[in-house]
Amino acid sequence: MTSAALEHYRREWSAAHASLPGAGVGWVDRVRRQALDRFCERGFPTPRDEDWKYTNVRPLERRAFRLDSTGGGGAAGHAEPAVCGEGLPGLAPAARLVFLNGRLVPARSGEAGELPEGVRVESLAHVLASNPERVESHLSDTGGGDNAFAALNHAFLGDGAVIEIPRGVRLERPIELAFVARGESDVVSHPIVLVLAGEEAEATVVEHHLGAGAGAKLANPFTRIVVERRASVEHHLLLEEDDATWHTGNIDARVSSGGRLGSNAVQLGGRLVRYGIDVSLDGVGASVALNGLYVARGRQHVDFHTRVDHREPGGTSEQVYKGLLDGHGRGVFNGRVVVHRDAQHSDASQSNHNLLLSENAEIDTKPQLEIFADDVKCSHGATVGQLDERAVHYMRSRGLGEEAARALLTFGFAEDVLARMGAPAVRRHVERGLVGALPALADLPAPDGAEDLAGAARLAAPRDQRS
Amino acid sequence: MLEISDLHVAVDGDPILKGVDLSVRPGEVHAVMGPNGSGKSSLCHVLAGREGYEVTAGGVAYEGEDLLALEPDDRARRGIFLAFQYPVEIPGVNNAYFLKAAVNAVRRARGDDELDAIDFMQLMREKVKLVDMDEGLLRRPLNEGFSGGEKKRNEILQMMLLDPRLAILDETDSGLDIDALRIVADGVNALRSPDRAFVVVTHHERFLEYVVPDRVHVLYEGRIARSGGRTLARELEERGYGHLRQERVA
Repeated sequence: MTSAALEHYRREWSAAHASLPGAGVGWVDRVRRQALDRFCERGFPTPRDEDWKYTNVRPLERRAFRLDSTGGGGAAGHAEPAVCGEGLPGLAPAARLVFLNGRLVPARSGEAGELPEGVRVESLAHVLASNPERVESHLSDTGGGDNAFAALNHAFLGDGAVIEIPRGVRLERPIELAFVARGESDVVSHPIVLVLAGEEAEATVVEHHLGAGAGAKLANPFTRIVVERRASVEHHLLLEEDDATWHTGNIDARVSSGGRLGSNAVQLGGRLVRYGIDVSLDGVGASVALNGLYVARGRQHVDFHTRVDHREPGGTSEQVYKGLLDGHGRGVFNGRVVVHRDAQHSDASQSNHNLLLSENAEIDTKPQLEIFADDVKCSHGATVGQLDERAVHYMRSRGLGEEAARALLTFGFAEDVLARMGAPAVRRHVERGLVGALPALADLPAPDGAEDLAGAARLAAPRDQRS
Repeated sequence: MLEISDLHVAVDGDPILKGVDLSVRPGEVHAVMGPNGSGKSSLCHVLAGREGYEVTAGGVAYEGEDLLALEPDDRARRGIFLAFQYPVEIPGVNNAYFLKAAVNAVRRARGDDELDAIDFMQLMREKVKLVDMDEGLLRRPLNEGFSGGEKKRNEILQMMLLDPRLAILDETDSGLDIDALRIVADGVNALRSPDRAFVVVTHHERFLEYVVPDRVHVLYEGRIARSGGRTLARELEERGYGHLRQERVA
């Protein structure tokens, strides 16, 4: 890292840290300072780092990103719906928190009714001000996927969402978190999301990242998910930032015995997106399903690095990631599964399938299995291809035009993984986004366009996966 | 309706069809039989417009037009339907949606009004009963994970919905048990009409007991080696194809 860039972040930190939420709380100050040191020691990753071989963040390094000088969420004018969105149509969340450039917008946030007893959905700033010890153990490190961006996030930790579902409570409706990056130029946010599901608790969390305005922005969130024994968490990450937004997020999740995590990630927007998703199966019979869909068009660059650690016996991980690459879009998928020595009878499967829709699009895919136990069932596979010409011909032989057949097949390719994700409202939203991304779908002889397609697509879900 | 004259077709430079002549009039059912590798499926694919089949000589006229100049979707819109021997599995594309899109593409081309969701569902339910198909298959991705018999029923369902003028069945009877065979045959018979024609490619004389053809042709080494009436199929069943070679030599 150039000393200029390093100096910039040190200066930013010195100017900001004393006024960030939780300043003056011993452990908070310590975590921030240590994270800053870690970040400065490491610097931004370079293509010489194996994990960053295909994703060059030098353009990030050259820009002097700053925290939102208007103080973020509470500032006048920011509460209007045009800035913060109205939430996902049809989601009907139990609670919704909206953040603007990383800070809570109270006017746009709230609960739909009374939450079940003991369920808390609060801003991190509020928790740090009122009861910081509640989250101390969850913020003291950045987990196994620790990297420069996670460290930078913790150096500026201050706001975000804290979701606690106590033991045995089943939350029927989802929690919606909307993170809006609004440019003013060169603004950065470092929000934190904590999802803490107690024993046998159940919850669905939708984490939606959006961008508005033409200025360059950096979104650098960090999400920690803790799934206690026999608890179940569905996490939906929806990335829909604009072409001026860089996104360098990380998810660190731990699943205890008999617990289950569904990690669902959909990327439709952003200039450069790099996501690290790190799941540790810490207990006997813990399981995770990782579903992902990324769409890189124009000059977008999208990179998903996932890692699953099977640490105890009898764990299950099932991963399906799919990518659509068009224009000069560039995709990177790196999926690593590590089965540790004690993790006998683990069952791990991983697949990554990519569809190249243009000659200039590119994908680098690298599934990795590292197995140190001897009695396990593991499989992995990656494909890169074009549309199946036999399928195109089959559809055309039934009267569909060539463009319509190709668009429908492309949609079907994505739909196949969306069908695994549950959360119908998220799915409908993504389907609409895909229809927008595939102009030829509009040529289909479907009178009501997106709605009709989406309706049909929902019907396409295998029965046991429909919700 | 369909005039195939001296049709020569090559795949990757290898001649497959070597001068096929076949004339089909409205209302007729033609059966095409022949040993494996005689070019039956290739003939079907050429008629449906699949890529990779190079016509080196001869031609095909459909209702007075040069069929080979038409794109596959144009052919479908003008009333040609091929029931595939191996229907393609298409993950992520809902069967019912696909059927509706196809029906409306064809209706639009014919100048008919498109069907809305309600009318379409009604039509589809009615046809589904005729082919004795599980309605649940309509909600699944197109052909994905369907059994062999389910795929064939789905082909016949598509045929009924698309209401073709010329239907070509490429070994639709293969791999079906006797009940399914009868259902498929009933489906074909229900569509028989004075202005519709069928070309039925089959290995089995038995299928032709249910779908009684007007003419039977034997495709052998890329040519129609013999044509005849219903009895020709029975004769082949008894004598096999081997004697055709001797006949040709003689």
